[in-house]
Amino acid sequence: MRISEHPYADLLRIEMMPNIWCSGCRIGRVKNAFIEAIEHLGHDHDRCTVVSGIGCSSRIAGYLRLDGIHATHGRAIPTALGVKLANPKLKVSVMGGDGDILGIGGNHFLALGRHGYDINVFCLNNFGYSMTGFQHGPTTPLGARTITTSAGNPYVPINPVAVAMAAGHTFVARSTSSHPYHLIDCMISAMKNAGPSFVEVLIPCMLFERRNKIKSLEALFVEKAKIKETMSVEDINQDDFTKEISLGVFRNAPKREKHRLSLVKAAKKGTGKQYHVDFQSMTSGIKHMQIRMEGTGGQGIVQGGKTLINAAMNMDPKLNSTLTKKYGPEMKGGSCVADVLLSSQAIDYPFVEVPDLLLMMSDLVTKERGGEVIINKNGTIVADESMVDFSLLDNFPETVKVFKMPATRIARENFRVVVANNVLMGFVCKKTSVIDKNCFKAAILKSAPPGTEEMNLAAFDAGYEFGKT
Amino acid sequence: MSQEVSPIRYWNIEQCTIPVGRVTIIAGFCKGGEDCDDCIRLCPEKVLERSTVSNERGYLPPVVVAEGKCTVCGRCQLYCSENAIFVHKVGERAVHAHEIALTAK
Repeated sequence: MRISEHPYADLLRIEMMPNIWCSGCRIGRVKNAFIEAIEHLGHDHDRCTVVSGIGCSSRIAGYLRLDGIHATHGRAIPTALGVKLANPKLKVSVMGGDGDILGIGGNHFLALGRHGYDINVFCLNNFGYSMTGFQHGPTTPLGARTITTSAGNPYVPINPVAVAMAAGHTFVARSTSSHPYHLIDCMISAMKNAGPSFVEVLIPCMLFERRNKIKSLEALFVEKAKIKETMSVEDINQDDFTKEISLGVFRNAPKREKHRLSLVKAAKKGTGKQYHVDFQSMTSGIKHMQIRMEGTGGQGIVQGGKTLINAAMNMDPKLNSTLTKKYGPEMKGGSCVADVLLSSQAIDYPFVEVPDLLLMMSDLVTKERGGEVIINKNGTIVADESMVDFSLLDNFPETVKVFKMPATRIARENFRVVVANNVLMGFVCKKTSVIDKNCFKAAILKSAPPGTEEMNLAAFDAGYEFGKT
Repeated sequence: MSQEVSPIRYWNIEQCTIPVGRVTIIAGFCKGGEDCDDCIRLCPEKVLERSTVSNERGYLPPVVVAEGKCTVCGRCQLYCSENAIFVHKVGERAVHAHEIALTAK
């Protein structure tokens, strides 16, 4: 008789056999158990997928006649996640070793529990990186000899079952290759579970046996293993298998519901009222204009720069313009500068050298520069009363116009401090009359967060009214 | 303490049949020897035994020594990592009372 008459022949890639595993390795049993589980559940073979990484156990995907991907080292779970997202009807399983899933791809294993997709992870734990000659890995027992720890492993191994339960996998079980019937049961339950499933399968490795002078790990598993119906905390916390190995299902929970944390407020959608401002574009006559807005981070300097450039674009779409922002790593409290250039010609250099219009929300930038205020001799300065030291603004020729206004105070008393930049914009709009009022309002509406349009527009109007006095 | 329990009390032994299987061994796939003797060790009916003739890769595959005793439990087929052994059901036979008695050796 030929191998093609084998009862598993439908699911085996006969042309790739005999397989590469060592004599006495029991990884092939896991493959047989997987075939039995699929046959028991009666899944369509076209709907089953096996993804694997690199390692001895990852060859299982190669020997199964199922669609599959042999992914890069440690990236079996992200690849499986991609398969699942592309076609949610597929039954996706991941076959990998302990070095692949827990060592190199450890973070993906944690993230899978968090994401909660229906992927079955079968981790074949043989206590080290055996394909390359047995280097020590994350699950190598304390004191075990490997190539890289010839005097005994000094590191405490991680506990895969405890990690899986902490990560949020909804099905967690442990089995060994010496108990294939139990393994079939675990695999069937794992595939039935609707969330991420994790099954740890202990495998006897010949290299581990030889280096540590163990006669037979398989006999050790059969002797120490104890199949249990209910699991206690001691069974989860088993990190050395000197006394007994608890086999069984540690957790079989339904798929986790997604709760919204009370820390996160529900996003406030628009109140339903639609704001709209009509504006008329016209030729502005600006040839070259440099505007600088400076202040402290948190006052809305960058936002003010965006409002300015949007307003200028509303006013005259033919203008060329740039916006450059300079700020430190801190979100609030550091110096912050927004440079806006408006020009009728192409702009070669995006930074402001000598500003024609300087908007000072605070004097922090000027003081950091050494107290010197740079301004064009025909320029305009608008300064916030409460934040700027006016001794800096004394020594100017008379052609420089200096306006002082309490933008922060108006905003604090009538609205909130965050709209101080719009109060200043209203004042600038009235005093300079470079850009039309409605163009400004449309620009503010464009960048205002939903629900705050009314406050921002009212702040602009307050600044505009203050400019009339 | 040998206690004779007659199975006739529980079911009609005359009509009781068990399946008969045929064991197929693909000698070229087998990696048996000192490291692996699962099929020989785990067979409940002791159908298999170690061969003395090695295959082309130097391993010693099992041979069938008790033809017709296989009951198609499928244990060797599930336990074999290399898929080198499998069983097919070929027929059924009636069992005798001494075969199925609990104290039967």
